[in-house]
Amino acid sequence: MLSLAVSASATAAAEPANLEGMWKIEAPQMAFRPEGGVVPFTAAGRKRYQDNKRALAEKRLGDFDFATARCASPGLPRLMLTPQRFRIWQREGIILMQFEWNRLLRQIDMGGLVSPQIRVVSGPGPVVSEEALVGRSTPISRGHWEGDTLVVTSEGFADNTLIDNLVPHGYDLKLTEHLRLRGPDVLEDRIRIEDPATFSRAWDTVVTYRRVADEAFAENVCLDSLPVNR
Amino acid sequence: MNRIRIFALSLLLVPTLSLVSVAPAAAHHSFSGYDLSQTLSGKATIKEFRWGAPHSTGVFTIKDKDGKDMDLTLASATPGNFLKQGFNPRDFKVGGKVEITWHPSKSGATGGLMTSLKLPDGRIFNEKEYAQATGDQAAQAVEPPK
Amino acid sequence: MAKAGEYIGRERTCGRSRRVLWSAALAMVASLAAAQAPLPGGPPAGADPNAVTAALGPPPPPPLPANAPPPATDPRNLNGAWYHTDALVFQITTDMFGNPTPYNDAGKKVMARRVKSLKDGTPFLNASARCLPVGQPWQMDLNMPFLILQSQDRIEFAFEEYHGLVTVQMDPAKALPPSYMGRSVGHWDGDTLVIETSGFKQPVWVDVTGSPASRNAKLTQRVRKVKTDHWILEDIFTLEDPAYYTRPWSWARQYDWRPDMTLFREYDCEVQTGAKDGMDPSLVSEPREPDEPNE
Repeated sequence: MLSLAVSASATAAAEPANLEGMWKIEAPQMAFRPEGGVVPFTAAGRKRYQDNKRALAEKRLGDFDFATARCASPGLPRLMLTPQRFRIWQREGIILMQFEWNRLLRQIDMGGLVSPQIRVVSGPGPVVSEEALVGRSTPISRGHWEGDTLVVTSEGFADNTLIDNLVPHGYDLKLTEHLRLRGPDVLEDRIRIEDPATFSRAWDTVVTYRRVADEAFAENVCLDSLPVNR
Repeated sequence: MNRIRIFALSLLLVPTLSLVSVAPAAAHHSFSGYDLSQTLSGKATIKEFRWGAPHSTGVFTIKDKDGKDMDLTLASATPGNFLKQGFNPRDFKVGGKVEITWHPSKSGATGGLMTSLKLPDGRIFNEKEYAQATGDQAAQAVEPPK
Repeated sequence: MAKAGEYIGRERTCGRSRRVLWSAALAMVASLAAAQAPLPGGPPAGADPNAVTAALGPPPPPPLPANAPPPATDPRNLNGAWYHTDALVFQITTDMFGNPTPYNDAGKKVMARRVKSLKDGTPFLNASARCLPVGQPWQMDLNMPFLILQSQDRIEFAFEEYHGLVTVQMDPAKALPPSYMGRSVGHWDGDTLVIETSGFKQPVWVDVTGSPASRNAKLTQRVRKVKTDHWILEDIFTLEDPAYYTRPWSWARQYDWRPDMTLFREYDCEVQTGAKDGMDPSLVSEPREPDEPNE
């Protein structure tokens, strides 16, 4: 047992920083707080945002918020607002964020994995070709280290998720995250959000997480919490 | 043996070898509940495409027999199937006016398995073969234990 | 007519060889097409149902490139990506020794009902169709990869399909509550990982056709890394469920070491099944008899 724990954590230890462990958002929030105070919408983006606000007020969540209405994946970056825990795993060539909420997994490709990745849905083939057609709520992110900061980019989004509880985005969303330990038990994620159709310029937001005990998640099934008749 | 025949032969082989595998969808749930002997058709408006693995869902607004709007939910193939016929899933826009054909559900519930979709520009996406491959095979193969 | 493959090695002269080439090609195309095309009137009597469904499946992936890293040398380090290459068995008809699956009368009754539902064209809703966790062992049978992640006190199995998750607690004192996937506790027996799973929140379908397991079922897995001509995870399953089977019975599976399948496709089934109109209308609720075990 000791030997396997050592060899697994040896991977993490060999990297510039060890982000492994269990994390929980410090200040739960439904919406990202933009640096500068306002989300810089385009006219089209603002219209979609206001449509969402109206739908929320009129209790038409199913019209725009599939995560809440259906238990669909919140996608990125909204997953980073989860009020529940997530566990970071560092392994050869990949970093994973395992979310307590609905058993979701986020993968950050650090390069160096055996290539080519050979699969499509129904047989051998390049892995991204089919998903590139429609995007993903949670694309495979690409990561690399800059000093002790993990720099992560995400592209190839579907257009049916939200940035947070209200802010929309389109296919061309691009995220750039800078993740680093501000202390042994504090993890910071600085997120840059870009989507020219929705926002007139890139905007930044910061989320902070505290380390918590590394206890396994009880099974979390979002569908069990949806009203049967809805 | 001339080169043209060899080339033609290779074309004959390659498409067959890349046929879509339907086991992931058939394992997810049985597709035996669609009546493959019947095909319904109608004009519709695209309400939503829910892309996914192992299969997708198209939600369409059609007119019921009294002329009122109603929603029709149809199972559909994965995005890769659309690509194979030269469609980009983004061609299927919310609000798009289309003509659809589908196999209805044997249960009588509204809905079914999509077999074709004609876009406003006249292009037709055809998944009758996918429907056929998925539909019956697994169901017909099973036997109860003795 | 020449069989597919007979062309290989013949001289490429015109005339007879050309006929052989076309015959071979047409036979190969016909057999491949037949594997995909519907069988008129169903498969021949006595046909192995699993052979029919195997023909529907994804083809095996090509072998790993020669420079692919092997698994860790420590036999107790199972970290990495694994993939069930073998054809998905829709109906587990025998145990690992070829004996018929030992359904008791209650088990046969459930199977007859489920098989009839398929033939009648009114297939049943189940956890898989709803996108609820499908339980074990179903989750381990699918032809989609999984990652094993080990920490000090637990082993996580993270699956691409259904974004599924099994947590094996290595400290029995930390056993998790009953759940759809059951509650799994593990220990090492030499270099074999023994996983004992019980505490299913609802009855599970053991296979696609619907071999049953009750909430009181106990599933034991013996898992170990093995090098054949490539690295595999060997998993011997034993199901103990007197509600539906006359005795405990075992079957075996192997999973290929596939570091090239570490990156998962997205499997966001709830975007479909969580919608108000999201459940497939061709599926119906399974009727249950009042005297069915553990319902």
